Amino acid sequence: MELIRIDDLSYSYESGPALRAGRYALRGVDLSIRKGQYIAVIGANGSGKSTLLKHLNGLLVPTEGEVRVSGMSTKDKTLLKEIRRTVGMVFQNPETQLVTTLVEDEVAFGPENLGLEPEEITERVEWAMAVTGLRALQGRPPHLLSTGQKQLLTVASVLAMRPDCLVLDEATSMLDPASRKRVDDTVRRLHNDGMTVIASTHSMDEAAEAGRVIVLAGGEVAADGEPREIFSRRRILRELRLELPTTVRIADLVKNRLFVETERLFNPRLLASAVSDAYRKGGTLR
Amino acid sequence: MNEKVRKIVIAGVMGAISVFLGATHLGFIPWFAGAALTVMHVPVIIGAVLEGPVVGAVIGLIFGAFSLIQGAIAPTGPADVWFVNPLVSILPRLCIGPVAWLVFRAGKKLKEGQLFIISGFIGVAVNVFIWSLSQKLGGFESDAVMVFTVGVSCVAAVTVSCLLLFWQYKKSSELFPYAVSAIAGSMTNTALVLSSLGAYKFIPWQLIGTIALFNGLPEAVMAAILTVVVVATWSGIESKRKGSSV
Amino acid sequence: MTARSEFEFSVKLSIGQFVPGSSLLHMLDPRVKIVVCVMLIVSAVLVGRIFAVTLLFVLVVSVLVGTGVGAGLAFRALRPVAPFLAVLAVIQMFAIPQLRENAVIVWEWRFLHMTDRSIVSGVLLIGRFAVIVMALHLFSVTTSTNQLIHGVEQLVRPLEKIGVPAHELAMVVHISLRFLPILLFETEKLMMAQASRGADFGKGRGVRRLRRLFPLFVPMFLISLRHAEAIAESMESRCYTGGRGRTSRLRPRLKRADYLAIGAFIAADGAILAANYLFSEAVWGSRALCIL
Repeated sequence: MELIRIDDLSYSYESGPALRAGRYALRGVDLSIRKGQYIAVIGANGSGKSTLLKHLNGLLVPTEGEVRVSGMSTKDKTLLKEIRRTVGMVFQNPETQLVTTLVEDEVAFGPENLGLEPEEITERVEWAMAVTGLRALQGRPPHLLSTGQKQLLTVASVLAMRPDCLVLDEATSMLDPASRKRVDDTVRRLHNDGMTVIASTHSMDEAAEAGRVIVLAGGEVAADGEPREIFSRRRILRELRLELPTTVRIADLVKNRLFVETERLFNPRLLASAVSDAYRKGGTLR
Repeated sequence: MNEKVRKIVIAGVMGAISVFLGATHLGFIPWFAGAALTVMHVPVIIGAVLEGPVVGAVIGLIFGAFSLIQGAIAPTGPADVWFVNPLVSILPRLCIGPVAWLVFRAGKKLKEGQLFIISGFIGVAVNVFIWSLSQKLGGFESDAVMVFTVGVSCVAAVTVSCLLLFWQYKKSSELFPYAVSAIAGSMTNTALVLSSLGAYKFIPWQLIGTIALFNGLPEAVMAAILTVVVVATWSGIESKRKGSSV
Repeated sequence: MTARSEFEFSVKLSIGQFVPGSSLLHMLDPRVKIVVCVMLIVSAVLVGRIFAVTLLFVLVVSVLVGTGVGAGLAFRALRPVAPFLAVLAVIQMFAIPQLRENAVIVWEWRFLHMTDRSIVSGVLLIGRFAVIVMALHLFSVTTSTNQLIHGVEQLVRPLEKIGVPAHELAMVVHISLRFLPILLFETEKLMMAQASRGADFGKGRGVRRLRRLFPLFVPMFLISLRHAEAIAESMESRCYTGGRGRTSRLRPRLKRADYLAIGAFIAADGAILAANYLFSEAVWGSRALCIL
């Protein structure tokens, strides 16, 4: 089932006469996102990743074209609340996403804005804190948490709105490896339970784990497909100055000794089985 | 972006800067003879010119409430204790933002020459205000001396800072309204705080003219420069970022 | 590194004075405490007679003792303010020339002069400030920041009908408090960066000090404005559009103790204010008594 539909989306931060000069941050983007997908959005700085993601919950409204979430156009201001309830956003810096002075209040912020009954809010707060494993932090002021805990808290506060889709704008790029893993695991678990996830990232290893990869360049969609497809198109990646996932680079290094299609080894599990297969067959490993 | 949300957040953030400058004492610059200049009112002015009079008044309220609490809980000198009175700490600060915004609005519609004249008038108005208050409240001995010092201080503040800005920003006269509104906001603070101190007889009226001159003038100049630099850079960043293809 | 340590030393964000406890005052609804605190401050500013200020002072102390917070805590609050108050009172009593007009001179020595009016204004000054300081303390010691904000919001709620944006004001305060630690962190980073390039913030005065501080102030404002945009985006993403249509996680109800407390306080405070205005010169007859 289609969750988000983007038709010929163009966006410019300019307005009036400057707009006619035609500097666009996004140009002619067409995308369809189905329920339950895990999508990684990659691209160099300034390629339009954040601009695209901010269109998904109506923070930005298309200059041309249309974005529809569950059939609701983001241009219709009366639908914004419902759209934002459906698509939850987590940004890069956890510091600037926490607006209250108590952990429970932070998680309750979204449901309170939705105008829910106090009992319903309490229930959702409990649930969101349990899912993100933040129960132990109840009653603490957010500014005393670690950066990783803060980002988990922002995830919890978005989850409390019970969204269908989670949009993560480089959400783990400011975290240390351990907290990055905690956030990633939480998101992965939610995805397994049916949550649609759209995450922009600079980490190709993260992108390699996604179900679908969208490559942006200069405000346009340069490539869109499964990771194995994207990471085999080396010329495009090189032109866009994007790295290859670690596993592909390792496979490249052993390429001369290992007769396998290294382009397809974008994923650690595939690489491991390829190496062990080759080893078992003997002979092929020189 | 939703305008209301942005206004709320900018008011909160600027209020925090004002409190921060006061709590850390970063916002106090030691001046001569033990006096200190302050830039705590600059967030109020910046908030007002960016987001309007209500945001300015709210930031002023935070600024005022903080000086009240600081005066009561952790005063660092006798002067801090005066501010425990809300008529000294809160009321004058509520007026900074709206005045700065009004002047800014007027300034945007006018040409440079007119602005100079208007700012001169503001100087005179502030001066007359202090003078008439003091006439009424304190039987002070040398009217002429006080009128002279206060008058000179106000007019000098406006002219000096306009000249400074003119020298620094010859090409962009669109920044003048910001400068003049900052001066007006700063003078509002000086004039109202001092006259309330005078009305409560904390400071003899004879001294007030001198304080207005030696503190109010440099504070106004500082507020003007800081406001112009911050607002100019901020709008520059905004337009540049919007211009590039992010 | 000197900039850093000096800076940390100078950071005294003394807003959170809250001491957890179980006194009656801790238990009271924050709204009741806010009303009590504000009324005390306003009355202290309004009253103009020594006996009224004294009664107010007795009232504050008895609230503190009666609710089990203890007067010791309150008097401790006065300690940092006391020396400054003393200086102010001395100035008020001896050195304000206006207080010499139409007044009876009690004592005079060269340029120092003490009149009945100056004595009254000195005593009033000490009394007023002591009452305000203690009122703020009895409040801040027994109320957490969170209770304060929720309390203010609920109190001002009814005014929304006449257009006062109560919820929005509470939100502004919330964001301010939330932003302070961020600001502290960012400024520390800025100071470290500038210090590593040889800046020294602690020294100098006047223009020289200013020229050192400007490279700190300007980025501080710009970073804050940028953060403000990010905060606004995050709030909007969570469906925030202001107070309309918003509910609250907690449903606070006033208890019987709250009604009793506020009733008793209003009665006492009202009586003092009434006495202050009623016992005018006509009633007391003599000038000396009227001043009291």
